[in-house]
Amino acid sequence: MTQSFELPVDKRRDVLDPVPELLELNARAPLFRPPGGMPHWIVTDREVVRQILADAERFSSMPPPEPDGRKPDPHPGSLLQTDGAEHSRLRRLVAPMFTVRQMKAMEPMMARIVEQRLEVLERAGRPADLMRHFARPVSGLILAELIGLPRDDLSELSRLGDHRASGHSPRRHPATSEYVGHFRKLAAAQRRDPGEGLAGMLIREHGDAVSDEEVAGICESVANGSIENTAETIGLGVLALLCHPDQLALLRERPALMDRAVEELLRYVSVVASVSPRTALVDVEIGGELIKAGEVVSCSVFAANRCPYGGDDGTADRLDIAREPGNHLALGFGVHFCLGAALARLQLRIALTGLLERFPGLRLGAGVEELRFRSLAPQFGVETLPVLW
Amino acid sequence: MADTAHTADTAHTADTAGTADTARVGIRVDRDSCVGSGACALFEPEFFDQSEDDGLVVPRAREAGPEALPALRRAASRCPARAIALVPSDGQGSAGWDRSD
Ligand code: SF4
Repeated sequence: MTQSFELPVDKRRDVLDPVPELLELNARAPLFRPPGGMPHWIVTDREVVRQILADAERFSSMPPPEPDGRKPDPHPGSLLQTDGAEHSRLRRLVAPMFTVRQMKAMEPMMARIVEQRLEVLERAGRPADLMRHFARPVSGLILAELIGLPRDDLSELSRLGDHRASGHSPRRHPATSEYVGHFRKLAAAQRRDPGEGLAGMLIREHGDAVSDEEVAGICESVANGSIENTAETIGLGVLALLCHPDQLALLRERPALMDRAVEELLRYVSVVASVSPRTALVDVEIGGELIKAGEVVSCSVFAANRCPYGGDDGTADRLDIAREPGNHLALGFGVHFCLGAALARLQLRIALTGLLERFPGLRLGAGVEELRFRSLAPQFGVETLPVLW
Repeated sequence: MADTAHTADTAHTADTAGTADTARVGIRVDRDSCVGSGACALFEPEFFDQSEDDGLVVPRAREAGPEALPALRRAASRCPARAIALVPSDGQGSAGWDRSD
């Protein structure tokens, strides 16, 4: 449909489903070498993905060299692109701020933002774009409150984010340095006058033990990991429910299923198709193949979550909001497991609950075949989602 | 490291371990591995909490009765850092589903 043929197989989807080619590759072997270039390996098998993500000793998360061989720029404070002791140090600076309890304390703030955006969505009139009026602002505004980012920065950041998402090599995109610059300014301003958000809290609690560059890097990682992931999960999650009227009806009938529904939607839509690449530090034999030291491995959590696997009950590809929440990989696995997991889960719950309560007649405002998807972005998603009620 | 994946998963799937299911179960957490994901505290708050200081897991009990086994196995299997282990409660002998490394 909208996807162009040169997209790598792990980035392609048939609306919400894995393309047949991905299913075939997964059935044939746990991992395979895509033709040419990077990554050297794509892993689709659930167990092998788990093994690799759990093995931070043999698989590094430092960014691999660019296709032209250039070394990537260092990225202080980046939680995703550090290893070992440095990663633990960073993670331990911020983990206390992302506990389930801390997030619950922010529930009233999140609920207020969701309410406001529901008003805006309703006023926008039918059909309204759920992404523009609801999903993106909800996740952006919550994140801004959490970090302590001035609201005015949001439109600029989302513009830069969109540019990066549309590029083939986001790390080299000019919008990227502007984006990073934005967080550096935030860190410097917070150093002078630390506020209530994450940036101010890091500075107040750790003083000079954490540099401005690191504060900027941490806030940027948190923003990167949150804004689009949550917005796209809300969008695709709503689309998945609207495409499965029986599941939607069940959720309306039994709102207590919401926590399970959130977990199932995270798994089912897996907006991050493949987690950030790992590089083998030594030769590793895994899944019947030899990954050589220096080779780059891309773990497809979408495939791992949606393709049949050994020991699965044959329902991995089905949306079942009532299923017992399992150990899906949508939020990662191992030491780099999503720092904002509690944040994401709570936001999704509040956003979906609010949306379903406000619009009892919620339905798609366009045919599924008319929707355009973000296939190149680090997070898969729908560009616009017209809804009626 | 990879091996523990199997044991953890087995712990989750071998739900019908027969006689073991009548024994009390010891709950062990490895705070060095915990990444503070909160999955345990969110889904099984009866048994797990997170510390205010470092965000890492704090078990609410050292052991539980056999009726808690399914919930505890799910928690162990969901933990993204494999930081939760179920061991035979002291004096109960060994059971087939532990990860007593
Ligand atoms: S689920 Fe595991 S990693 Fe997450 S807080 Fe509990 S013990 Fe720690």
